[in-house]
Amino acid sequence: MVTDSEFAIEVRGLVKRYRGSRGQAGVEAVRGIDLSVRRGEVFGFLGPNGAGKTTTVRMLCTLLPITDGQAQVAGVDVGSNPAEVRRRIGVALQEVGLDPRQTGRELLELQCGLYRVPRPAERCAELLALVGLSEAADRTVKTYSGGMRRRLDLATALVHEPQVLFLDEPTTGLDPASRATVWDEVRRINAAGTTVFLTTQYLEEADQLCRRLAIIDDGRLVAGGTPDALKAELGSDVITVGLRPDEHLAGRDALAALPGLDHLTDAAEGLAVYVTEGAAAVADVVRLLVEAGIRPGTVSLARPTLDDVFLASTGRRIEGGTPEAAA
Amino acid sequence: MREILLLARRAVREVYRLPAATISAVFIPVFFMVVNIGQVNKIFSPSTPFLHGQHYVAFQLPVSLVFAVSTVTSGLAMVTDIDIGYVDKLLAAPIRRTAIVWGRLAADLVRGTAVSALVLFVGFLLGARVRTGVVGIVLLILLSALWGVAYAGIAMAVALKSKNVQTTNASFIVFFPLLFLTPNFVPLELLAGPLRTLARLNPVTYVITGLRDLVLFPSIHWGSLGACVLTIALTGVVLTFFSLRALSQIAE
Repeated sequence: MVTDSEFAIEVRGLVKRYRGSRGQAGVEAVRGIDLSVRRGEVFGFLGPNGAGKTTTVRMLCTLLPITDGQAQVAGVDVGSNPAEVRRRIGVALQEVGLDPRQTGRELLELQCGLYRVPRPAERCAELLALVGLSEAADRTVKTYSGGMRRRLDLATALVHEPQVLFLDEPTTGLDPASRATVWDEVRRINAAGTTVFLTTQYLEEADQLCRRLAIIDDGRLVAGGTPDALKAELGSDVITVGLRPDEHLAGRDALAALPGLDHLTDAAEGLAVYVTEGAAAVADVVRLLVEAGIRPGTVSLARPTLDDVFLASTGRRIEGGTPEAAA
Repeated sequence: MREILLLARRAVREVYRLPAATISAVFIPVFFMVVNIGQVNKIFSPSTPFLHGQHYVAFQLPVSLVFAVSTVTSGLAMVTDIDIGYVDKLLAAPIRRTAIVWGRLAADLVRGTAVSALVLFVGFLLGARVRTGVVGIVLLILLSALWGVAYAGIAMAVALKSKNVQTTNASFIVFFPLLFLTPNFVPLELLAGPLRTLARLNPVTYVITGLRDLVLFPSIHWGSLGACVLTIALTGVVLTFFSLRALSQIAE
C-alpha cells in the first residue's frame, strides 16, 4: 500500500537486533527510534562511529531486515513492500560500490538498464555532465580519484530520479575540495526536489547541508531539530576574553554586573563569558573591564556549535567530528 | 532475463579486461595435457585397446576441457563485488536478487565456451580428433561450458557464505579430489579396486566419460552422454540452489 503522506520517511519504534553466535549475547544496534523526514528536505543523521547510523540506513534501504517497529519510505512500507521501496529510492552507501574495471559510462548505462530508464544514453550524458565527469566517462573507474568515484556513485544513485536519496557518510575520506563539490551536488539534487537522508559524523557537514537533523548515540535518538534550534536550546553565546592570570579575579568581579550574563568560567587564556545575546554584550564586556582598569588582550564571540549540542546530548564530544580530526 | 543479460555483459567485460585469470585457467590444463602426453605417449600407442585407434591426447582431451572450465573465478569476482559494496548496490536495486547470481553464471557460460574452444584447438594441434565430427565438437564445447557454469556454484556459494577472498580461493582444492579420483589417465575398468569405487561415486567421472566417448567413438553413445548431461544438470541445480540460498541470507 502506498500512502500520500507529507513525510518522505516515517519511522516508529525501529529496532535492529543481531542474534549472538556460539553462546555470545546478541547486540541491539538500533533501540527503538522514531523519525519523520518531510518531503523535499535534507535530513541529517548524526552520530559517532558505531552509533547505529548505517544500520538504520540499511534497514530503510531494504538491505537489512527490520527486527521490530515500522518504517515507511516514499509512502511505502519497508517491511511489507521492499521491492516498491527500491524503485523509489537512490542509495549511495559508505563503501563506494563501483566496479573499478568498468568505465563510468558503462556503470551508469548498466544502472539505467537495471532501473529500466528510458533513453539511457541521454540520461547517462545528462548525469555525467551533472557530476562533472563527462570527460572522464570512458575511462575505467580505477583511474578515478576518490572524489570522482564518490560523484559517480552519486550519479548511479540518481539514474531513475528517486524520490528519496540515502547518502551514508558521503564525504568520509575526501579532501576539502572534493567534499565541497559533493556538498554542492547534494544541494543541487535537493533543489531538484529529491528528499535527502544523509548520515554523517562531520558536524560541519550537517550544519552546512541539513535543514533538520537527529543525533543518534548507542542506538538511541538523543536530540533532534533544526541545527539553529538545537544550538539555541543550549541558551548561551560565549564571549572569550583574553586576560593575564592575575586579572581573572578582578575580571570576574567586573563582569558580574553584565546584563544577560548566564555564567562565567575560566578559559585557557582568560575568561569564558556565557550570555544570551553575545553580539549585543561584547561592547558591555569591554566597557566593564576597562572601567575596572583591565585591558583585555583579545575578545572573541562564538555561537554554540553542533559539537556543543552533541556534548550536551551525549555527555561527550564526537570523535572525528571534523574531516581534519578524522584524517 | 534482461537483468541477467545486463549483469552478464558486465561480467564478460571483466573477463576480457582481466585476461590473466583466463590465461592461467587455460595454461595449466594445456600444460598438464602436454606433459602427460609427453610422458605416456609411447606407453599407450594408438593400438592400445582403450584408445580405439587414437593418440593418447584424444583420451586426455576431455580431462583438459573439464580442468580448464572448473574455476573459482566467478566466486572471486562475487566476493570482490561484496567487498567493494557493489552487491549492496545491486541488492538495493529493483531487480530479482537471483539475477545477481545468474548474471555471473551466464558470463561463465561465455568464458567456458571460449576456453573450451581454445583447449580443443590445442588438442587438435597435438593430434586429437573428434570422431563424432562437428556435432561432437559442438557438444564438447557446450557441455564443457555448462559444466563450468555448474561447477562455478561451489566457489559462488562459498563466496556468498564466507564473504572472504581467502576462503573462496581455498575452495579450489575441492577440485583436486574431484578431478583425480576419476578415470582421467586410464578407463574406469583399469583402476585399482578402492579407486574405482571412489571414481564411480565421483560425478566428474560421468562428465569426463561422456565427453571422452564423443572424442573416441564415431557414433554418439547415448548412455554416457545422458549420464554426462544429467550429472551437469544435477550439479548445476544443487550448487546454484546453495548459491541462491547464500545470497538470500547475505543481508541477515
